[in-house]
Amino acid sequence: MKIIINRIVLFILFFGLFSVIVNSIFLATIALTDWDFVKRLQSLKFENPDFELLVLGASQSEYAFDTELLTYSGIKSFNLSLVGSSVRTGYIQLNEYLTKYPSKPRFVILGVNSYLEDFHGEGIQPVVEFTMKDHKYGIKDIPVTKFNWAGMELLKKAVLSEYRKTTVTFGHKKSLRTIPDNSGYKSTSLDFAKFESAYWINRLAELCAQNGIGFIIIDLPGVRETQNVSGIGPYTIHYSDGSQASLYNLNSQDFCKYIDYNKDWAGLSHFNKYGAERFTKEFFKIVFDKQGY
Amino acid sequence: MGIISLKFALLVVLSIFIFYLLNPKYRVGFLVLISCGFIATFNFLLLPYVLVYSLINYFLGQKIPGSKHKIALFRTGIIINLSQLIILKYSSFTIDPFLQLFNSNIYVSRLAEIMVPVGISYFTLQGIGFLINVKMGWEKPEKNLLKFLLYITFYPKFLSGPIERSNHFIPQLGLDKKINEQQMAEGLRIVLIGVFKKVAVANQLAPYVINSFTNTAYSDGFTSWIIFILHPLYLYFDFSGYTDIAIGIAKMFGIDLLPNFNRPFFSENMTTFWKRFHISLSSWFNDYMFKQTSFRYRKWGVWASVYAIFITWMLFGIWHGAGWTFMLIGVLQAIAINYEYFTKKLRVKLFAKVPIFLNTWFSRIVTYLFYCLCMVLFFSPDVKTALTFLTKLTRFSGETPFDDISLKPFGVLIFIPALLFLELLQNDYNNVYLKLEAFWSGEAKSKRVLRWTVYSILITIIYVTGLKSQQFVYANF
Repeated sequence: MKIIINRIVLFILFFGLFSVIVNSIFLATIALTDWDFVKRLQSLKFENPDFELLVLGASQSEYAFDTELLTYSGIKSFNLSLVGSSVRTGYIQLNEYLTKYPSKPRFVILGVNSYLEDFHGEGIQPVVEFTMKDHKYGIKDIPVTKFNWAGMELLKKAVLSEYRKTTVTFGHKKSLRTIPDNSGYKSTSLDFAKFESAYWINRLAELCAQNGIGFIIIDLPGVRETQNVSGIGPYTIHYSDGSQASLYNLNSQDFCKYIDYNKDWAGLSHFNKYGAERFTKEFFKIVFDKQGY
Repeated sequence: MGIISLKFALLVVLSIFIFYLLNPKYRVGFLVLISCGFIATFNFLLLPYVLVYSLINYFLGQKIPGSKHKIALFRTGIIINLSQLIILKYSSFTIDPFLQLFNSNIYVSRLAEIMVPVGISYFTLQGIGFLINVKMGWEKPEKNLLKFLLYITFYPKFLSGPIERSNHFIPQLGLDKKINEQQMAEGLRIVLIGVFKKVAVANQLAPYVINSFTNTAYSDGFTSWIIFILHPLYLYFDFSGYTDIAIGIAKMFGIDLLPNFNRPFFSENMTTFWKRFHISLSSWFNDYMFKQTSFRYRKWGVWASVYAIFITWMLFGIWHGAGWTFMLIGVLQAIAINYEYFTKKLRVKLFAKVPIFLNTWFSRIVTYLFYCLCMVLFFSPDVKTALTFLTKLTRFSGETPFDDISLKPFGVLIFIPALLFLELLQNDYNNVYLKLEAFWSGEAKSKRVLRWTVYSILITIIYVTGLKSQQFVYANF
């Protein structure tokens, strides 16, 4: 019995040491290679943080807004969107940005897909949570579990060349994957109440109002089955504290006519590089013409 | 209590620790106590039920050998065993429709809802097997009631087997076991592999496979083909994962449970497949049903075997549950095995000139695809749904679950080939496998570090994949 207990204790110690080494290597690897981690670290130490436009949102937004194209079109932009990000995370990121840097953007865009997303999530995107100021580290912060999806991304990059070819410029993720959209249209309408009742969107609108920033919500195009029959807008969403946001329904079937359903998607309502370029041009025409840019 | 849970892990650790600290003469009693506690966690009515069931079989077993009414007692035992199984498991298929013919409002199947008879299909076969062994004189009935109770209730195998034989399990209980480092390490290793199979493979496939008949998003041809191919792998990793956990825990108590799997997907026909898949069940049906029936009707010549195969496999199918899908699975197995038997000479002649390698792999693929077909029935709620699913296979179009940009099941695309590759080595390149095994189990420190590193990687993967509890498929039977 004594030998077995000794062996078990030794193994536990070995496993502890193994875990420390594995977690350290993993954290270092993803900090250097994971697109979101790299982007996040970049956003915490911008050399020239004089962006006119910041984009917030989750992965769909990260793939959709070609901020490089926008920058070369005259609006210096950065896409802060991150995989799995909640609206609350967007609020934290913007607040951090405004606190950290003296220059304020002219516009903040929140890219969402109201058909697919829930705006009430209180969770904070793991990379942001891990790197934000005053975060209290605990057992939930063990890198291999907290960033396990990043591990999967690493594996995907190792195995699939089309993943390795994905690039990130100005925070915009450019994928070369092409997955056709085989879904069919449904007759859904845009749910305005969802935007009006979203606490963290309200907080974002409030933060933008306090800082004199134009706040625009873009309901992003998705595959055919997510698109709605409502008009493009813009609609003004009013909040009880007096703040407001301009909402553009770019997931309207009217707007989405330009999409090439065989070529523009990287999968599940995420644009690939070509789709993003096309979307950003259309978005620019509709939104910034109307904003008088 | 879920098998993949902290509570169960604590139960195992504490019970092993106390087991070896106890005086050997109290160990069987202790295991019975722990097993009873485990059973009681499912339903407080289940424990007295299992105890009464065990006592009836025990007393019948004691009476049968010396009795003048041996046959009558034996038949009484079989009727009691089958009746309780039919009432608690098959009444919705048998008794209730019959009662409804007389406009009755009595639903016997509601008894099962009250009782929650988990493990009933397994312990009933063990009870019947014991009575047959005693009646045939293949074993002397165990006098020690506690040992018999442990045979029925032993907690690692209670939920989903392996289905033990009394003459294999009970004799192991009499031995004065001393804690053995090698046995303990082996048990832990098997448990770790079992948990890995369940958590890192089966649980990751579960959302795709379980929802395959209800999720309309998976309605395209490509997706259906992927699900079709994945069904057997999901079932195998889920069930063999459970079995490994049961075998590993039992080994730590010094008990060897019967094996349940032996590289089934490298079988070249269905006859061999069933000697390698759910072995404890198929061998039970082979020994107690097929052999007895074919012997009884031996005057019929070859037709005795044909008849025995059909009866055995239909009962085998029904054992899984009350429904036409399971019955059809049984019929399909019977047809396949009879086909293999009657066409063996012809096939050998036909394929004599085909290279062995091609022949072997072609046979394996055909066997696997046939099993895939059976699995559609296994996972379908009814025959109509199964047929609808099969019609989707005629379309080769649409998205696949792997088009999902997040590609969630990516891990299993690595783990499944890795595990199957090890099985392939063991099956086809045994010399290489034995060399690897010898290298693996070496006593040198460097080899221990290698082993511990691999175990640490497996634990990390299990932890990262998530220890969410997901019902074992075969716990439903």
